[in-house]
Amino acid sequence: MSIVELRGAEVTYRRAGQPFVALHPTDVVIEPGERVGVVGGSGSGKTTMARLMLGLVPPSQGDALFDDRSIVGLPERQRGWLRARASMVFQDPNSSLNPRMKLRDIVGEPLRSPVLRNRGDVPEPTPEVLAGALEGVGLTAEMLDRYPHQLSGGQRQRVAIARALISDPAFLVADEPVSALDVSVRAQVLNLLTDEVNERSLALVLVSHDLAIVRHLCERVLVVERGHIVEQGAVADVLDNPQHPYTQALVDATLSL
Amino acid sequence: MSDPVLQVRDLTITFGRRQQKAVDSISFDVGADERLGIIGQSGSGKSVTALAIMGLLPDHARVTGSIRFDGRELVGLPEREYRQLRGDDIAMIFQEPMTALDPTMKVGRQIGEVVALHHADQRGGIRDDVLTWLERVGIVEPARIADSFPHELSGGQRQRALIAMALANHPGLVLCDEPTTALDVLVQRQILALLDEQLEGHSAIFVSHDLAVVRQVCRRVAVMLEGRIVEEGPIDQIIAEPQHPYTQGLIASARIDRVQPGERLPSVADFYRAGDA
Repeated sequence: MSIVELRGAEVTYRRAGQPFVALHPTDVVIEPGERVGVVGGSGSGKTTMARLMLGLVPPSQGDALFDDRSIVGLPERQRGWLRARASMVFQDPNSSLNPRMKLRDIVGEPLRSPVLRNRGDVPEPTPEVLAGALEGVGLTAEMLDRYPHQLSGGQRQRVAIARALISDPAFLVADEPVSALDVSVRAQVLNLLTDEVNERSLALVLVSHDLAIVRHLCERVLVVERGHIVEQGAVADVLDNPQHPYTQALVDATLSL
Repeated sequence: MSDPVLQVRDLTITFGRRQQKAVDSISFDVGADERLGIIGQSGSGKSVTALAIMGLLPDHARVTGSIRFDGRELVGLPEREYRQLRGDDIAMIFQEPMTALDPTMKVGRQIGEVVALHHADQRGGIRDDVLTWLERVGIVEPARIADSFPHELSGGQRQRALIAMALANHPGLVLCDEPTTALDVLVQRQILALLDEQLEGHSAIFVSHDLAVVRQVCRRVAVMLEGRIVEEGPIDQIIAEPQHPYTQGLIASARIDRVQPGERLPSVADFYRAGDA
């Protein structure tokens, strides 16, 4: 049983009144606990693919399945299970965290969702649960009453991770989770992600243009260019021995010390 | 050696009533045709230093010490005189081209404005100048891009336009503040190559948190931490033999590719912990 599946899924946006295919018909299967990197440049369609997996954009044709259930056309009221099973960490915590909410409200919000409340399979947002969520990502319970602006960039991204994990999901999408952070704090956030993914046996889709972090965190990689998967396979095979010119260009452009 | 183009001595910058030091008595030189990298994390004072040289600090900033550019003292220079330097002799390339460009003005006019502002004599031919510059920074269809608004350009094209704007008046000193941070690796590589080529013959300061990026453009680097320069020297030497624990941590944490996949990555905190933070 797969956790996520795209079957000939295509996404079309409208750009300046014209239809624009962001993702051409694509087949992807992600198994429970599997870690998959999705790499490509800006505008390649990698984020669109991730959003499709979470039901955040509808396919213009084809199907998107989660837990073997189609999520296409499902009304929001019937997506509660999906919202609890799948979470996302965004690139920039400055814009993904509401600046007017305290950490306790930010982290607890997924548990207050009306489609999740009182279902029994997710915890109640009690002070103990919220404190535990912050401590789990290396912050302290006394920070619950702080606002995002009182934190450093790395701490903010930890809050975003705590929020993504509090509903105890089985699938996590991390969209460029460290590229807005200083090199000096990236390692800590990546260590945290690695630990959480290991301990919870999460299926992970890591969207990034940084091949080094994909190599570090993922087993399999999909290379996306202009809405097509141009190459895929085991991380070491693809990145050490790229076959497609686009993969080659990405490998060549990666800087290291 | 000829006189340095920029000479910074005991530069201290404080903000607000509590006199918090953002920059604490730093000194450095930038020689003719030399490019100095300034590396540090957010809050280290690297961008504030660049803004101080550019004369763009807010009014409540207190600057002491000396910044000499071409022998001229910039600390305390009246705004009227600064305005003649800025964009002509000293130019700056910012991180986020979308906020650095005026969204309501066509790109060609914005670049032309910088030229017209400082060279009132050059009434005709500015448009040709702009198109030549756009071509030089690798824009394929200069005329079309000149007639576009910033939001119609890709991130890479916007950064190219910004580089053209900064270099159009042949400034003696170019300040680059994280010019590739908002770009993906492919475009980053192109922009770094372009900067490396176009900064030839200019003195430059390149501010970044990423040593690997700085190494593409600079030979010499200064490491800033908590408002001070803790280490300075040839970049290859600093990468090979970092002396300060913070620099050691910075280099170790950037070498993700040297760690076995899934193993714990070294972080700066393993090497250096801030005294009072």
